[in-house]
Amino acid sequence: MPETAILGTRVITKPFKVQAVAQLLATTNDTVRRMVDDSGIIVARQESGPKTRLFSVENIFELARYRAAKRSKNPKKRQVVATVYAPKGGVGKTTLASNLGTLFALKGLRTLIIDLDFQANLTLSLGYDSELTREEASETGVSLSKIVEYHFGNLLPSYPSPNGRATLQDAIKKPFGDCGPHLVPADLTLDRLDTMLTYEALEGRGPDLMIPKLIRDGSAQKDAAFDTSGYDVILFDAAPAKNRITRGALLASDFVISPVSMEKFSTKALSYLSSVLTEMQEQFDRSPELLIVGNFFDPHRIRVMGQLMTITQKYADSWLEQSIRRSEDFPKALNGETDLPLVLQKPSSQAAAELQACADALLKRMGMIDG
Amino acid sequence: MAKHSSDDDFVKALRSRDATAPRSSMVLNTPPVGPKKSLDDVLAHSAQQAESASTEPRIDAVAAQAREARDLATPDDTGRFVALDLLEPHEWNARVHRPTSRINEIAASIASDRQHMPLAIVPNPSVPGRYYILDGETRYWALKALKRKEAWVIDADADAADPAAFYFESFKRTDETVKISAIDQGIKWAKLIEGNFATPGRVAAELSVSPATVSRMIAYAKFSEPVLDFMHAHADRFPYSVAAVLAPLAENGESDEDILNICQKVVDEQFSRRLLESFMKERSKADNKRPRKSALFAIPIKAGKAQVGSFRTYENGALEFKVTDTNAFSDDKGRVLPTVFEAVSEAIASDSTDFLEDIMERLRKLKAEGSRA
Repeated sequence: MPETAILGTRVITKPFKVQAVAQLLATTNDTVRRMVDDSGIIVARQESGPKTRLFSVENIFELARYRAAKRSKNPKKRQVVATVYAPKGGVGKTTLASNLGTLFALKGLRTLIIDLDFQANLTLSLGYDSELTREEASETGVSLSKIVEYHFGNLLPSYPSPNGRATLQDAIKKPFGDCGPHLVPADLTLDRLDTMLTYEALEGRGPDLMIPKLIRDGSAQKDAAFDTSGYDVILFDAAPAKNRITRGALLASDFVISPVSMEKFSTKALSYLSSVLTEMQEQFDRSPELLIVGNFFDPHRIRVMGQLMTITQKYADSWLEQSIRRSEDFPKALNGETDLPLVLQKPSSQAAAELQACADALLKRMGMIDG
Repeated sequence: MAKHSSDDDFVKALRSRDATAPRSSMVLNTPPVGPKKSLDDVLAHSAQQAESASTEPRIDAVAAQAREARDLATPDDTGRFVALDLLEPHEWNARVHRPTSRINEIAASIASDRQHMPLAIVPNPSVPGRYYILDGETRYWALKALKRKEAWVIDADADAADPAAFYFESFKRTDETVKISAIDQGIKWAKLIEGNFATPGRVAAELSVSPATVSRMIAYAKFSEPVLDFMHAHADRFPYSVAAVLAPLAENGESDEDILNICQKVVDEQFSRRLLESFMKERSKADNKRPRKSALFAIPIKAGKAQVGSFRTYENGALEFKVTDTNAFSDDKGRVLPTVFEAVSEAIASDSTDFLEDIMERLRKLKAEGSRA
């Protein structure tokens, strides 16, 4: 299990041993060693004592990408756009988004996560404090690459950015290197994007298609400033609000992954979401397919099972069989001492195994891996 | 069910309950089912709808009024439409750098929506009926790219024959739309001052900046076009204070490649002005100790089979003649050698076709002069 040490506000992740890497890549220790030898990826070794391999987090994603490239005879698959969303706070959207993004990248998929919540919790969970200024970073010795300078709004052509439109390359962060998930971070000013979309609506300019157009043009290489054609998965993490940013992301998405926390309000939120999707379908003949992930699941609690019955009967086609059980590992992972999603922090935990199974099931449903 | 039954039994019982049994009074809507359009289809459909919504190009109410006013051929506050062919950019437009990406962006906006702002134009004093663009040149290029026939314009007041007056008016209008970069400002200010069209004091007064700012901003004009293009592409890293630190490089005639390498470093390592100053200081120290670059070509000088020296040429034009076997090198020979080098040096600089003969001729002349002396 990797441990972390804090130097000022800089977090240094201790290296992973081969067992942890094998667990993360769902393979054996020997296979990992063989992949390292075959791929030529440079992995550090312990300086004193036994020369144990010490993998950096970047090494793991490099191996994942190497394995995917080797396995796939036809590497170009269609791009999938998904939004993690529930119109209800505290159901685990951000945790699910950061872990799914990480797990997708561990499958070797080129993954872009876009934080659409101005609270920027996803951004923070991947090691970027959106409030950190350039001066504070210099004073505390934090790399300038950790500063959040652009958010998703700055990537839209019509967003009035102070220095002109930012490019995707300006905005993206690579918390775990090139092969890991990439992130378009958020900050407090992202809510201005919603203001702009509302303004456009009041001006009668139909803002609903602005985000979908950006995503389509990015995927089709029609927009030099926002070229997302290299990504296999684009994953939006939407705020619980039913705002225009979320609406745009949903319309751009093929799937909406909705965590449900197995209680009444959360179940009701599925109904609200269904109404939003139905309205979207009526207006555009398009809406993302709903995939429901049971979160904080506890099979030993009768009230939870009651909600399960309701959801599985009402939303049978959308319910994902793999659920994520309630675990103390989740709150512990948010203790502020690390910038790693739970699957990387505790690869051998039950929670990580369930997240991995959930990611596999989602990828299968999204047509990204074969059954 | 007995009270002592296990949770597992209870779960089984729950699972086997009749689906129609009342469970909750909560209304639960379900997601839509049925065929779904692709994003491409949705966007194409939306574009079609927009197209069919109006048979004419879409223009807003103000522009519509302006179109009506066109027939009257009298300019009014809401502007009018003018054939694009009658417009031309002016040399003293305040903006220098106009990235293609920005032109494309505006073109996309006009194509998908409309021209949001009119161009400000002034009459061309030399060719009646034609106009110079005072503000909106980027929109002009976007309209050109879209092969539009006409542009929405408003008439402005500025003397197109007076560079300074035109520039200041263009600056005030253009800067209001999208800020003019410091680089563009510096370039044009330097041109105004060098061309004696305006003094630094007038630039400062017209644009409400301090004279010190003007004198520092014109540092940009010292750089070549490729360097300025690079700086403009990374404008946030090259404020005038940074440009002023880099300006001596251009003044000292350093190559564009060397200057661009330092500019790249400024971007990559996010140099502040202070960091750059200390870097330049270190660099100039290192320059003094810098090892010579390798020779372009080196010719060995031989005495019989043994090499006794070498002749080298360098990129900076320097020639080097080295003799290693100097045991027999007397003072007399040492006094003659500069004369020989002088003759060779002059021969190199001359246009003569027979280099060897030229050297010999010069040596003969020098020898004759030497013997006369």
